[in-house]
Amino acid sequence: MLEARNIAFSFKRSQPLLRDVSLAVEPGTFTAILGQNGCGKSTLLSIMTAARTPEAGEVLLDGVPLAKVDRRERARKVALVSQHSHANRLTVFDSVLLGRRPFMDSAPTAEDRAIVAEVLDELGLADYALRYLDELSGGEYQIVVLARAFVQQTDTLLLDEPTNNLDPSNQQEVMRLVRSEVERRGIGAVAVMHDMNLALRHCDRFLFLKDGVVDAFGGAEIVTPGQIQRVYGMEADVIEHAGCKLVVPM
Amino acid sequence: MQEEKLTDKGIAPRAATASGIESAYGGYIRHKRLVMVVLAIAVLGLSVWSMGIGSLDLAPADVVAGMFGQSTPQVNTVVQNMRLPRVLTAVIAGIALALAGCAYQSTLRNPLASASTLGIAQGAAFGASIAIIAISGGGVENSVAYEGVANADPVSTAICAFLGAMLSTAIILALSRFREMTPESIVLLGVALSALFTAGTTMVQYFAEDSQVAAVVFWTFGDLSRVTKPQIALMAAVTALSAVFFFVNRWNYNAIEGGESLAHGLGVPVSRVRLASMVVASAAASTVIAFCGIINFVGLVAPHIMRRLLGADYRYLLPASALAGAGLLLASDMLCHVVVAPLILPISAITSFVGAPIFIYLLFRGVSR
Repeated sequence: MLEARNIAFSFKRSQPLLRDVSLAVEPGTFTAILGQNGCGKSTLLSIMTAARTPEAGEVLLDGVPLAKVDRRERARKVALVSQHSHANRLTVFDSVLLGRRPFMDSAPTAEDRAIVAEVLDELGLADYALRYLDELSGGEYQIVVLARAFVQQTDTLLLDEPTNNLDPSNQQEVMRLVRSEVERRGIGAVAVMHDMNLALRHCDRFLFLKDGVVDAFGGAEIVTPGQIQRVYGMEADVIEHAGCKLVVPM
Repeated sequence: MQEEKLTDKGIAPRAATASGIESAYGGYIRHKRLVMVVLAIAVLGLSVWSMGIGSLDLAPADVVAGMFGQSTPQVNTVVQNMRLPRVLTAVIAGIALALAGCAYQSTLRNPLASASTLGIAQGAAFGASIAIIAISGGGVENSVAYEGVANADPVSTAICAFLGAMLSTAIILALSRFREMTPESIVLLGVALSALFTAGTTMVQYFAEDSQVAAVVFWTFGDLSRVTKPQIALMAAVTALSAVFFFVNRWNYNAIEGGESLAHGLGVPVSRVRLASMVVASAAASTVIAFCGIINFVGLVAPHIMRRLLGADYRYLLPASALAGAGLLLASDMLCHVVVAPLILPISAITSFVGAPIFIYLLFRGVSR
């Protein structure tokens, strides 16, 4: 299990961005990290993948400090869906095969290729397998990115704004696929998000960051008009619709 | 609901489709390998053709016989001592420059990265200028450029050119480590260093004799036939070692091209791979430039052509670019010898004449990274 404990972080010569932030990615849960732009959501994810080093606190992977875990070993247990990946001239199959990099010695095995083919099929990408990434639409590309993370077969999946720049149907599709992976394989997922309704529809835990600290953490019950007002400074109503909470900005 | 779909209803058709995907992918890989074989045969054919061209025209069969000492003494001598070394130089230099360009473009995630655009070629020219003018004193008593070059010690010229090229690399790497520069900034830094080294070369030339200046200019023209057999062996060794290094990192390059955070997430030590690749690519390019002089565009264009043809999978892009680089330099060398025969045109100008239109064509077609 991946666990961030009492994390503090600041960029050079600037105010502390994160203070005493803790988050445990428990198996079978899908957590949304919510908060205003620049509140440290993506930075927290980068610390949880060892891309940044915290000033205080520690990140543990199965009880071992993340900094001491071998890179390949880390990549076998934690997958990251970044908002900064580029669609280059690699085929969908080869791009997804990259997800098996942490398991490869020098070249992919037949098992690696079989896993990729299986996931491509499951995600409805069979017809796209030999198309280049730079020929895909934004929605198709994001599903390829997810497929790459899925073939890593990790216990933990971290997603940095996975639905950015997608139309509503693709947003739902991406979140549905992650939710399905959480339920099917019992992995723990964490997604940095802006759309609270999307989060309410697919996530089961919510972490609100405000001014670098955890303002609230819990189930859908913590998503209230008061909480939204405190974190985002905006008026909103929270209503029930078809058994699901909905945030309606006022 | 989803579980039911995936397990109860989906297994049989999915297994069929999954194996279909694997089969289609197998066909795709075989196609790439076939292209590589065709490219290798083309380079081989071009090499034999090139060895047949010159004041003594030879048929391919004579060239092959001459290579193995099975022809007349005259043909054997011409092929083994003059044409084979030149063709080997072209092939090895083309491979080295193309591989270096490929590695620069991947690790810096910039399609403009090459030895020429990063200031490495200009650093080499600066080093060669120092050697020809200040160290060897070449051409002081001569008025002809070629004699100036002949007077310049080829060993000290090659060493200084190599040092100049590596100095440029060292400055780029030191500054990028100092300020954690982005790949884009590194390329811009290379542009600035190019200007700096060119200015340095100009200043050195300003205080030199006319024949010394001519000697430097002659060196920058590039010349594949001035490379000796021991130098070819050294170039081949450096190129082979760098090729092994690049091939070992082929999956890392695929990951880095997808973005730094993706590569990091896949366990790739991005900074370490970038640093090592820059050093190895610069060593390969610098060795070639030190012995052959400036050769433009090969390192830039060869990877672009192959990227367009075969995609950006470095498993195939690296060897295909190497073959394209070899082919491009061989073809340019042949043009040097036939356009205004018996005069031999400077190779650096011809590679630009060949490479620039191809590059412009690719730009207009939309270069894909």
